Amino acid sequence: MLGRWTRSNLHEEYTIKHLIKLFPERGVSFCNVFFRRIVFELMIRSHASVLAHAKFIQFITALVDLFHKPTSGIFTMNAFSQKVRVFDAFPKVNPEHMVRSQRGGLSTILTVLFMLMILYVQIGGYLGGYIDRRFSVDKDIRLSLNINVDMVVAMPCQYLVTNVMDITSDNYLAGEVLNFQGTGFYIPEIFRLNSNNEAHDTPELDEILSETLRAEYSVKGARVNEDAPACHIFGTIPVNQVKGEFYIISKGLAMYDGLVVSPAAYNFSHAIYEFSYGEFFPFINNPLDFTAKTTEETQQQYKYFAKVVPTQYEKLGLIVDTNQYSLTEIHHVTDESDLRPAGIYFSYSFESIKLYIIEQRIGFFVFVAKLATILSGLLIAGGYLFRLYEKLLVLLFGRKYVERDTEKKDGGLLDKTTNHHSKDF
Amino acid sequence: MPSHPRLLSLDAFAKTVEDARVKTASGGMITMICVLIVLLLIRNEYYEYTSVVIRPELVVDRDINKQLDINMDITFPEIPCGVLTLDILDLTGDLHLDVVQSGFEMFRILELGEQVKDDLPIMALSSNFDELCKGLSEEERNNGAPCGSCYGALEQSESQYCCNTCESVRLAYAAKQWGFFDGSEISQCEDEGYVAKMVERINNNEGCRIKGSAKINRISGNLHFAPGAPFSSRGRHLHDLSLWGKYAEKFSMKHKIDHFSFGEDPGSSAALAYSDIDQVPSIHPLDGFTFDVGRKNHVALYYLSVVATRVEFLENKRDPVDTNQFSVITHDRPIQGGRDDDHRNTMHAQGGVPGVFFHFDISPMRIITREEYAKTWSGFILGIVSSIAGVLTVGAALDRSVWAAEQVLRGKKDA
Repeated sequence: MLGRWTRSNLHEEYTIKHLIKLFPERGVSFCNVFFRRIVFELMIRSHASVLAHAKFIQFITALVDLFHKPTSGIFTMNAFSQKVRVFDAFPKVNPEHMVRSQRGGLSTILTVLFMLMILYVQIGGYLGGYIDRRFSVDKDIRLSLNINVDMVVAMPCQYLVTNVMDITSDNYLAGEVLNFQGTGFYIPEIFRLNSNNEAHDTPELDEILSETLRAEYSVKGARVNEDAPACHIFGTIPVNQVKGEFYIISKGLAMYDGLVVSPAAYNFSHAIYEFSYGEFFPFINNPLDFTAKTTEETQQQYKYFAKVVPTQYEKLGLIVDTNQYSLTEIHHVTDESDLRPAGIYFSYSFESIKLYIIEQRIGFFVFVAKLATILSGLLIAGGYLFRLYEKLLVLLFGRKYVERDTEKKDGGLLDKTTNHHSKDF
Repeated sequence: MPSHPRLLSLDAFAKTVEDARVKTASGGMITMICVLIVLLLIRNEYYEYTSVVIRPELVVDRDINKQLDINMDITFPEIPCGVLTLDILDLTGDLHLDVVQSGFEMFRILELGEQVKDDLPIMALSSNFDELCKGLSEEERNNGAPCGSCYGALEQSESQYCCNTCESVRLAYAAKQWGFFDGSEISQCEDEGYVAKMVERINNNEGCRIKGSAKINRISGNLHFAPGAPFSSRGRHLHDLSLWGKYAEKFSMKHKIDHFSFGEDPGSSAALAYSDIDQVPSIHPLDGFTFDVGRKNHVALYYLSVVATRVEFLENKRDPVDTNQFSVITHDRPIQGGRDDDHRNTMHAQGGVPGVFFHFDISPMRIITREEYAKTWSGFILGIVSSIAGVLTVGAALDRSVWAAEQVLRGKKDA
């Protein structure tokens, strides 16, 4: 603003000189600060060449002319209103020429009530926004992503090995970042026990956003009470974002662990509190959360295959970048022919198409325009409906009946208007 | 309209008689403001009408036997041309090259950054093996045609195979899994000047830029740059690393990707129309990517997920472009494996071939992005009409209230 001001300083001076000359002879007091502001604004917005141009001066002169009456010599409100009055597109009818009726009042009240209702609904709709679902191929070059685990396996921690292997053929030593805490094996009531993951609802945007409490496990690689009957495994594993597998098996099978566990001691019953991909939002519901599997078999193998779909939720500038997954489970008892030992396996692969679920609002100005249209439409429609109703009443019960509730005016005004009508056509 | 008096009762635009009309200054002001607002709204409507939006659609890709174009432009600043070979393998992992068309050009990058087109072949095509090392026919043998020695790499007792060129010896060595190094002491290579060329390039620390495109069958596979001639051993694809290992101090896997795409770029004109940055298609997300781990025995891996895309232009002004988008996951590891330097919990796999690998995976989905006007013609008209009507009606209501208030005030003054 300041820059623009100084830049046009020269032209300003020039124009002011012109205007000062102009205004007194037109009889306008130049002290009117508001008016001066408008003229300045116009000046600044106009280009130098235009400024110098006679047309601009002409325009200002016309403007000045509009706001005052040259003959009177004083800038009066009356003169101004006289000029502006011509533009009035809303001709009003003097109240003496109008009749009001009881039914009219009633229908006005009804219309206004209806309008208020629409207003309420519309404002609610505006505040609530609408949900835009999009998808696109992820443009970001990515390296890794987290797997968040929180589960209890019915085997002592000291017997368990956790690992991640993926198509890069790298091993991620998950056992070094996960926490192992000895505990008892117990499945809370709310868990879905041994059920297939049927009828799992996809959470809605608002549900997701109300649960976006980001969290992190504060400990890493802790090992407590390793000989307790069950093992609580929890933590975050950063893995390569490629097809891979996170598995929990018994020691003595995958690598040299210095401990061979007797297969008779195997028990891969487990309860999953949290299993998610991406940033850790403990309250967002995932298909595997709060599910449990129990078995009597020692050689039970649990396999979960997840197809992970990156999903971004957005509302009012709040962005939750997370991942959903669809799940397939295969569970069976292993025998000698099996390539993989008994254990719990979580396979995952990633979709290349990312989903965006965005709540958007229409612009405020657009909303106001829309509201104005709807309400005025309602008003007009209400008016016509009322007239139709009146016509119907006249047809059914005659004019006398209809005019009973009407306001009485002295001088038979109605007759007069009808006379006018007939003259008009 | 005296001839149609019946229509009178239908008039929805019944006018007030001129005498009964009252015009006020406030009404005039409100009218002017309303007209301004209406003009503003019409302008907005017009902008919306002329602006272009993208409506993407997701369908299953039903094309059969489509081919996949690969376009690339990659620079290795610390590896001379001739050291690296480019292989394109498909899903089976064999050296099964289905390169329908390939046109790759190599540019030597000299010390001062000057680029010179190179004449050595970059593509290692296994299908060339039988042709390059072709033996002599009965007739030719009788005529005493020359049959170059393969130095024991191929059976030559009855001239089944002949190695007449340096390239054929190189392939024969690779088949036998012998180290070829830079071809020194192999007379074919010495004579062709191959040895001198290679030594000069390596000693001058030249770089290499590979630019071009290939058409391959549309199945998952990989494209990789690795040193030396390729060969298969026990189902694994390997490379002759003898030359790579000979110069312990030279070469590194640094590289810069100037361009990498699967198919045609629909062009910047389309991109300009994308109002939302999320909607810009991911045609070449890797462009400008620099890998600057200056290690020699290192593998850089790119996992690309390719999604077929069809871009349809506004009012079919241009023919639709069939191309591909892809997403990228990167990974890299040292050949010797072991724990990662930064992420101590990652145990890298050991072994393999140093190089740059692009693994690509084909998605079954296809995205159709369609350019459309944000509003149709009728929508535009409707928008204009409703904005005029809305503003004027609200204006009328406002005006009536102002007038009523004025009258009340005046009534008070009079009283």
